[in-house]
Amino acid sequence: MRWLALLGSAGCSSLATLHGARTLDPGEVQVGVAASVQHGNNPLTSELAFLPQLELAARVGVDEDVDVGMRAYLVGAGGDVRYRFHHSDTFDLATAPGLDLFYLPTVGGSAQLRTPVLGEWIVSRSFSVGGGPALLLRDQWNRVKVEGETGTSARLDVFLGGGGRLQVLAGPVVFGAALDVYAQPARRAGPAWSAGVDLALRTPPKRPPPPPPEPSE
Amino acid sequence: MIALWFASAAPAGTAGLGVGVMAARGAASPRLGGQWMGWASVAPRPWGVAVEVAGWRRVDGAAPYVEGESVYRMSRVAGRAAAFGELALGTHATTFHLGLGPALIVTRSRVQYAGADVTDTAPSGAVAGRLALDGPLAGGVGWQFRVGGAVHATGSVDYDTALGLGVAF
Repeated sequence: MRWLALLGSAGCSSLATLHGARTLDPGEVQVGVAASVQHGNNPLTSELAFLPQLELAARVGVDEDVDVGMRAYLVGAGGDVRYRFHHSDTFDLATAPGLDLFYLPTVGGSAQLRTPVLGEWIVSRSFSVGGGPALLLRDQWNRVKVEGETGTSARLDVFLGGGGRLQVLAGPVVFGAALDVYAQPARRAGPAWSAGVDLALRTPPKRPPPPPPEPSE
Repeated sequence: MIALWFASAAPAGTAGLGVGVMAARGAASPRLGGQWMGWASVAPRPWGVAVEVAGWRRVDGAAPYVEGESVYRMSRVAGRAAAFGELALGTHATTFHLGLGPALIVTRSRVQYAGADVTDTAPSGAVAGRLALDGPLAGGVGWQFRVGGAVHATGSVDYDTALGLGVAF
C-alpha cells in the first residue's frame, strides 16, 4: 500500500502545457503522448530533484474556434474546453479552462482547476511558438494515520505562472516541446516546473491550411 | 451542448447569480469555502466593464489530521464588492474577459480557542483580477464561468472560482 500512497502523492498533477492557441477544425481529431520531468507539483517532488510524468492526450474539434481535450496521466485525468477568442493569420489567443481529478480510496484525491490563457505565433505552416500565463487551483485531500487514528489532511495548492511551447507540424505528426514554471503563492513552497516533449497524430484537416505569413523585406 | 454555448450572436452583456468555491492564503488550513456571487457585465468588445458581489464562509481547524479533534475552530464570513475594467474578446457569442479593478472586502472572523470566543469584523481594500467566460444560452439565458483572485491591502490573497446562470441582454 505504501507504493500506492507514494504513486498517488507523486503523480496527482501535471504542469505540462500540451497545446497552443490554435484550435482544431470541427471534426478534426488529435491523439498523442507526452513525457516530462516535473518538480514541485506536489510535496513529494518538492523534496526531490524531479519526477517523471507520462500523459495520454486527445483533442477533438467541436466547432469553429472550439475544441475539447482529454488527458490521462500518472495518476489522474482531466478535460478542458479550448476557446480561441482571437485569431489572425499569424497570431491566435485562446483560453482552455479545464478540470483534473484524481482519487484513490486509500490515498485521497484532488481536484484541480486549470485556467491558462494561451497565445500562439504561427511562424510558418510547420512551426509555431506558443504559451502564456496560467492559474491552477488544486484542492487536495490525503488520508493520513496518526497514532492509530485515520483522518483527512486537506490542502489548497495554487500554481501561478505559465509556460512556453514550440510546435512542429509535419503532415499528420505534431511534435512539441514545452517548459512551464510556476510560483506557489498559497504555500510559499518555492517554484514548480515541468519540462517535456509530446508527440501526436492529427487527422487530415478538412480545409486547406492558412497561407504562411509573407516574408518581411 | 458545448457548441451551443458558443452559438448565436454576442450579447451586449450578461448578469446573474452563481455559486463557487474560494480559498485564502494565510489561513491555518487553507480549505475551500462555499461561495455565492452576483455579477453584471457589459462588453462592447474589445473592452468591457463588470461589477461583482460575492460572499463566502469558511471554517478552519488547526488539527485537521484527526477528524473531530480540532484544537481550535476558526470561521470566517466575508463579502466582496468589486468593479473591473476589462479586455473583452471573442470570435463567437462567448466573450473572454480579463479584468482588473478595485475591491472592498469585509471579513468577519470568529476564533474559539481554550474557552475564549473572539469575533472581529474588518474591512479591507483590495485589488481584484478575474478571468471570465460568458455568453448566451437559449431564450435569453446567460451563463458565466469565472476564476480570479484579490490581493488585500494587508497582503493576504483570496482565490475563487464560480459558475453562474442569469440573463443575456
